[in-house]
Amino acid sequence: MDDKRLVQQAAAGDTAAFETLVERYQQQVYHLALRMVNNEADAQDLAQDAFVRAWRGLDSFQFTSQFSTWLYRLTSNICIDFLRAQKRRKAVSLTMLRDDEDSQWDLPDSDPLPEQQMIAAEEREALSKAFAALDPEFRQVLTLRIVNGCSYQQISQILGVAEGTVKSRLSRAREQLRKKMAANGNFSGASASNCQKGGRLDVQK
Amino acid sequence: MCKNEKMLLLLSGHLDGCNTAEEEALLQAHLAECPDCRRILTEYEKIDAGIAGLTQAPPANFTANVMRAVQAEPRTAAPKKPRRFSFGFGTAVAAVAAIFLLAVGSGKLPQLGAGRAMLNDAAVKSADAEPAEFAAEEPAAAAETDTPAAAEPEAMYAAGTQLNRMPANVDCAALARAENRPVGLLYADPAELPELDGAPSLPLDGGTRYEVTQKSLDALALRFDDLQVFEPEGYLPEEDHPAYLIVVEQ
Repeated sequence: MDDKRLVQQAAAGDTAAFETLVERYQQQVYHLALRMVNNEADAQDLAQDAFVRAWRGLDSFQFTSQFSTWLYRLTSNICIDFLRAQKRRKAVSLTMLRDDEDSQWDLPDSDPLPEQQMIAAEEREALSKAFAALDPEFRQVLTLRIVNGCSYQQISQILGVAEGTVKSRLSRAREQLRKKMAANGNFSGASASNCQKGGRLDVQK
Repeated sequence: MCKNEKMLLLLSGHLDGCNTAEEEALLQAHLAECPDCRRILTEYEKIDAGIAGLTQAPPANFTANVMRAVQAEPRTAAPKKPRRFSFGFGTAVAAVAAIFLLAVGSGKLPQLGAGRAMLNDAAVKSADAEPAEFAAEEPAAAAETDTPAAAEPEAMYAAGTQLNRMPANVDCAALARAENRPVGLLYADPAELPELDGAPSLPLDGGTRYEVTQKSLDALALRFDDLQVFEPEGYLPEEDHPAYLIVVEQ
């Protein structure tokens, strides 16, 4: 059943219809909250709050945008309010990172991870740390685009900004993240002098 | 190191498939000549793939927790709406009376004791005078015209409204009537409002007036419980209707 039908049923009081919507979007909403606030417990509370507020506001949803757009906007705004109240945490949440570290090394010494998996785990942790250290609006826009798969138009509706601003913000977000990764030595690409002019271009859509 | 920042924008747009044909051609021509940007593109691709892999599932009991909270919600609750004030002639008269009362209370007129007593009464009554539609827990909202005229000034200047910090040269209600558009009033740090970047603005004494739309005011109402919206009498909200937002800096 499509979102519109589910929303109409839920607005009429059908909690089963709303539960279907929750199951359909819980991953995206939770992940957006997690990447914005950098804390699992807070993200769970905020994501839950987003769905409860969506339930309350179903009566006023006019289908001028997709339900997912409206829901992500609700989630983003709740997280922004939370971050403002927390005076924009500057430290990376150690709780989340500690969990990642524990899961990486939770193996007996007699059965070590293959080297490739260790490298991948290290890279994942480095990216996670660098991502968590980005400005909140950059974490927000990267998560909406890359994880939630939102189009520029959707993101512009969620954030209430022009599509050009979305494009610019994504560019600045990627560059800030790339610089953090490079500063931490996470990129070992060839230097300019090693690239041959006219060589193969890694350009793919 | 390539210093062409425009290319960084096009690289990002390329990854999202959102460059125009001209932009893509410009980018391809540059990449043919710039090994730095080719390296950056590779790093961006790696970053994007990494971010996509950072997904984390919600806890197993997430849906159950949400539904438990939903079941506890009173289903008959009216949707929360921004505080809206509709102004016609009768209301204007009442508003002038309220301004007089406040002037007495602020000491600008004689008989301070009497004025302050009246002001205190108004503050105490303001919570009770709040129109039913603004209280989330109450049943179906009453129409704005049902609100007794005598209570409107108290609702307009309810406890917590920092009248003494409003821009000195703005009367939101009069502006809404004169311009036939809603006027939002918000006490906030403009730095916390990135959505206003680029919006036409006019500096005020203690704040800024932005040209926005009804849609923008609705979006802000979701974020700010204390956003007040002043509407001309008979105004019917439409998404694209021009509006003003006055941000009083905190």
